[in-house]
Amino acid sequence: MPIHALHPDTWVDQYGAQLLGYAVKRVPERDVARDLVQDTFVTAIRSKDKYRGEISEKNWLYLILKSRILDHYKKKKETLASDIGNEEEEDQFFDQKGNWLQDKLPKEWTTDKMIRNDEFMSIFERCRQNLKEIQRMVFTMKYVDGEDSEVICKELDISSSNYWVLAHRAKLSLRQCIEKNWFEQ
Amino acid sequence: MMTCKEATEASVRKSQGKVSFRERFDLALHFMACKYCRLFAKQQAWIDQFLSNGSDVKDQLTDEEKSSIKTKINDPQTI
Repeated sequence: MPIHALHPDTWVDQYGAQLLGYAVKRVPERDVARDLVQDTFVTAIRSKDKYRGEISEKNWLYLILKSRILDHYKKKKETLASDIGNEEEEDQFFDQKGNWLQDKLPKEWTTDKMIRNDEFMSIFERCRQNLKEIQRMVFTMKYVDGEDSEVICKELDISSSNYWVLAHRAKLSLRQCIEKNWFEQ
Repeated sequence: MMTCKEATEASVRKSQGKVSFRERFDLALHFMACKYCRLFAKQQAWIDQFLSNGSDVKDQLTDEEKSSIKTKINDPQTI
């Protein structure tokens, strides 16, 4: 006997906002996120015969949304490839010998500014938004979902060396942005 | 000796639990000589705690969007 059942009539009101919140964290444009949520409901309705009631309808909808989001990234693969970057590309942070560029050297951060308040969080958020789409997606999968790097590589279909180039650059950019906009102000 | 570029990448991998014993050793050696990479590692660790909070996007569907989605999923052509 299945433990869970589906109640499609209540989905939009009950789960719409939660699913949208989940999608918005992973795809930057709200309209795209909303369409992915709509797709999720449509896919769910179309495949409701496959639902075995082994997981709650909420978790089932999340699974569908997650695979919709990953599909969205895979479809954009060509554009994302240039965002991933490669080793040969000109380096923004280091010279050819791998030393820090003079103007990119990390500076000491004063401890009295190492606090979490609304002002800091809004700057942090702005710096996160400045990252490339794929970098943000990887950070969400890594830090919000707590996924292992190998799983992320598999899900986004990128190589492990691409992953580390991407994570490395994203951290360098984020750190620099926070330094400039918070610690040096 | 690791370069700063290699050291910061190793530092990112270390924060995700993906460094070998050898790299860990090389990284420690680099840190002894390089205050900038030490700063990078320390500041990165501080930044990471905010990344795991996720962004506080509170988003709601507008009534219009809700009814448009409802119409769509109740459309016999959809099903």
